[in-house]
Amino acid sequence: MNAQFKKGVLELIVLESVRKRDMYGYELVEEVSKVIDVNEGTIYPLLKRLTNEHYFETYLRESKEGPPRKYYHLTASGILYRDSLEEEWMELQERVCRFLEEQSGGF
Amino acid sequence: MKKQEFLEELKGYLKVLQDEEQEDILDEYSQHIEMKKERGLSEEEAIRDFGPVQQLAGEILQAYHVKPEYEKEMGKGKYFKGIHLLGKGMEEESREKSSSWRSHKEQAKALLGENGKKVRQVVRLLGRKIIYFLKLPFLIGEKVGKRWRKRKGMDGIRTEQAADHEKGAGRILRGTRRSVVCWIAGFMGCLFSSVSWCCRLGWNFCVLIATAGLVCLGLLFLFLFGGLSVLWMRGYPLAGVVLGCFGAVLCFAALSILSCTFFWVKQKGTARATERISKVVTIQGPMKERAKIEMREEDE
Repeated sequence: MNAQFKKGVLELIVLESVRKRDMYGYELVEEVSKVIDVNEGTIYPLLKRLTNEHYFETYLRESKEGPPRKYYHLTASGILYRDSLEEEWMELQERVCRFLEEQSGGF
Repeated sequence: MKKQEFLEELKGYLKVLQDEEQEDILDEYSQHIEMKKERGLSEEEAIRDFGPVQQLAGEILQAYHVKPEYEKEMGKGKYFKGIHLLGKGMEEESREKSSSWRSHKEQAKALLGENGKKVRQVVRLLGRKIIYFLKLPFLIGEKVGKRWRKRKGMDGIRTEQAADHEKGAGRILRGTRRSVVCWIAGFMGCLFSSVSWCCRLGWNFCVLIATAGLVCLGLLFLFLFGGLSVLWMRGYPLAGVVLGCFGAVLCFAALSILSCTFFWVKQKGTARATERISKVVTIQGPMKERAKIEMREEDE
């Protein structure tokens, strides 16, 4: 799939994944990979940015194996942001679909 | 590339950031590599999946809105160019997925065929047996309760329902040992109810004392509030203390109301028991119905 498509929706997918339950980085990468095939490196910068913009809160929790993990938690403003993104996405998708249908119907 | 090299290189690009931030980022990446290694990948492979380090560093720096020359270098810009084809692409993929899923299902059906039908029947039968065994304790409990009450003379008239229940449970307690079992059950019931009565008495006493204490404290603060507010009116600087007292009065009032709800009333216990039994029955009901429907379907 087009790499630019993936980048566009990555934010929405990450926000939605964390909304259900708090996750740590690697877990989140795996969850996102279920939906779209994405370069693992790009998720961390995204998480960083969303944290800097206060859409995520982070906390450390001990794990059974290895060092403590950094968990991401969606804040209230993060939820609002997710909802607005979803709305935008729905609208965009609908418009594009309608456009494509119209075009193909004309010929 | 080795892990150490990768981290060193990444660190080189992230020098503009604060030390703690750098460490935080490097920690995340090294943890990610470790986890990939646990999955059986080699260090090189895990690092290759990140792509070029420079590009990665550029994306990280974008998250901090730092130094435009860095961003220029890493080639941003193209972000949303191709997004208008997105909807179609996603839809197609989902369609592909659903069609492949359907074909899998059909394959499985064909593979199982007649044997599948038999397996399903056996599973259903087993399920019914298991549910019956789960229900057993409740049936016995119900029966024992009824018998004991009858013995005490509390339940003089036998209703239709009770008769039905006894018929159902009668299968369990059959034979000559019935009277002995009944006697033991009655004794146990008696014991249980007396113990629960004692517990209730103790608990209610404790709650009563707690409530009384809370009410007393509330009244005390009310008096304090009254006295202090008079002083405050006269010009003493007691605004904070008066407010505090007011808060305490409200707090203790609320607490004493809360503690009133902790009284253990007898109906509650019996209500809970009947609820449990009825839950079992309601679980049973729809399942039987469903089983019937399925049987009918199969017959057709």
